[in-house]
Amino acid sequence: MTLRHSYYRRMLPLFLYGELTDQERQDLEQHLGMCESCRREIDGTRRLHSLLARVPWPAPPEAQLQEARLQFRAALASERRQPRTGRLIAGLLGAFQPLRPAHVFTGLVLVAAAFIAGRTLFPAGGSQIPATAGLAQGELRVTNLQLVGDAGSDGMIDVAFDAVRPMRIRGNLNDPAIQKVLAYAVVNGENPGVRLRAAGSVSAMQSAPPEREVRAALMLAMTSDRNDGVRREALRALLRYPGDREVRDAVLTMILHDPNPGLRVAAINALDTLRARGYQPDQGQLQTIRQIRQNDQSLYVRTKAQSILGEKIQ
Amino acid sequence: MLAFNELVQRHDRIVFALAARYVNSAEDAKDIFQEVMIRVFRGLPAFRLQSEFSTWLHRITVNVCLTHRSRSRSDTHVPLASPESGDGSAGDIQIPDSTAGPDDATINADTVRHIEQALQALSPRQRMVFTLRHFEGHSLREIARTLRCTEGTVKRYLFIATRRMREQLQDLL
Repeated sequence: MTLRHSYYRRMLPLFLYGELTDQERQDLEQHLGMCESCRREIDGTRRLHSLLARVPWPAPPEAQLQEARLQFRAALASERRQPRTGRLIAGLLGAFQPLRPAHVFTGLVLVAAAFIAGRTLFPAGGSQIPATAGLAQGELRVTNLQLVGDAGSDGMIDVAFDAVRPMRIRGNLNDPAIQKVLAYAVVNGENPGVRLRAAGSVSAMQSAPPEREVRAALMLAMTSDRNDGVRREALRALLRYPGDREVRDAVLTMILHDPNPGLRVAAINALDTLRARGYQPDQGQLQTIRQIRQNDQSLYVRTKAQSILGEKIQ
Repeated sequence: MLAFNELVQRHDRIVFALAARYVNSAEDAKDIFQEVMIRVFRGLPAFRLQSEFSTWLHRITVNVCLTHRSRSRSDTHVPLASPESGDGSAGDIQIPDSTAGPDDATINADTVRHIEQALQALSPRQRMVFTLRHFEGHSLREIARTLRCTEGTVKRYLFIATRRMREQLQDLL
């Protein structure tokens, strides 16, 4: 194949996409008139395009896009809260009697050598905690035990394992330690029922919990939890913070983006409730509400947005 | 934060569509989507308006696609648009009878699978160039700008990708 021929061969896909200049197209058409090999080549590429054109390439399902959005919001909120999460966990552990390092090390070594011997160091019932929250500690449980390598000639061996201590606390909803645990459960509860009950516990409080972690956890749950019930309960709980601008912003986000139309209605009703209590949206939020009035698919939501604005329709 | 949500919501559908077309796996598309949006969030304060936001976003999406490592295993892989995905979307493909000839307008699930495999057999850059040119309709100049390479390089990728697609699908052509 000559260099010239190779040049024309490379132009063939571009010809079909209309990516050639006028001069290039004329040159190629002239070449195609004389070269059967290139004619076969371009016919083959046409057949490829024809095959691909016959395959339906629908847009990705809307549900998957919504899932992707929720996952992103959760990841974003997690990234923004990362330092607080670390403090939350540290605070959670610090609220209770800390394990003394020397005892832990000794206990873990003996538990690794003999499970029965380990149990005698940590009897059931644990120690009493003289705090507002009562703490009960269960037996230390060893899981995921692995031997790392073989025993050396010096008689040393490495053993790796996870040591898990189940814990249970009981205390008043007004206890900051309990509130930290609830905040953690709202976001990290393994099943929706746990997250729902945690959010519901906040709703049931007589006054809004002052802990910032609780409010942040509720906002995260309201805008990113996958479960409709959890998002609804988080919205209810957040009405305990009517004066908080960020909460109103989060409610607006729910109106704009929640995939469940019933929840968008609940959110706009919540916004109306706040307005009735005297908490007026600021200029930026008013702009968003105008957008909702104009664009929301639900007539009810648009009508509610209009009543919140209280503006005359022009 | 509200403004960021609005900006994202206006453009994210395109991001997800490109990711979905490129990887053809729901889980991988979501991973790419999340990575792109996180980068946008981090980079937005420094975005200098030297290009349109959509162009900048598109470039990030392409780069994330190119560097993405799939976490899908073949036994759990569920393509986005296939009869097996079971999502009842409008893109469900009809299964023709076995007497259908090669010129029959109906495409069966097996053909779709072959096409997907042919696309996945391309190198990441070949697949991206082919996707952007053939499925997304971007010009070679736009693709070169997005990939930060010359048009000549893009032409070469397109030529190789087209030839390999024809080789992979020769039994269907």
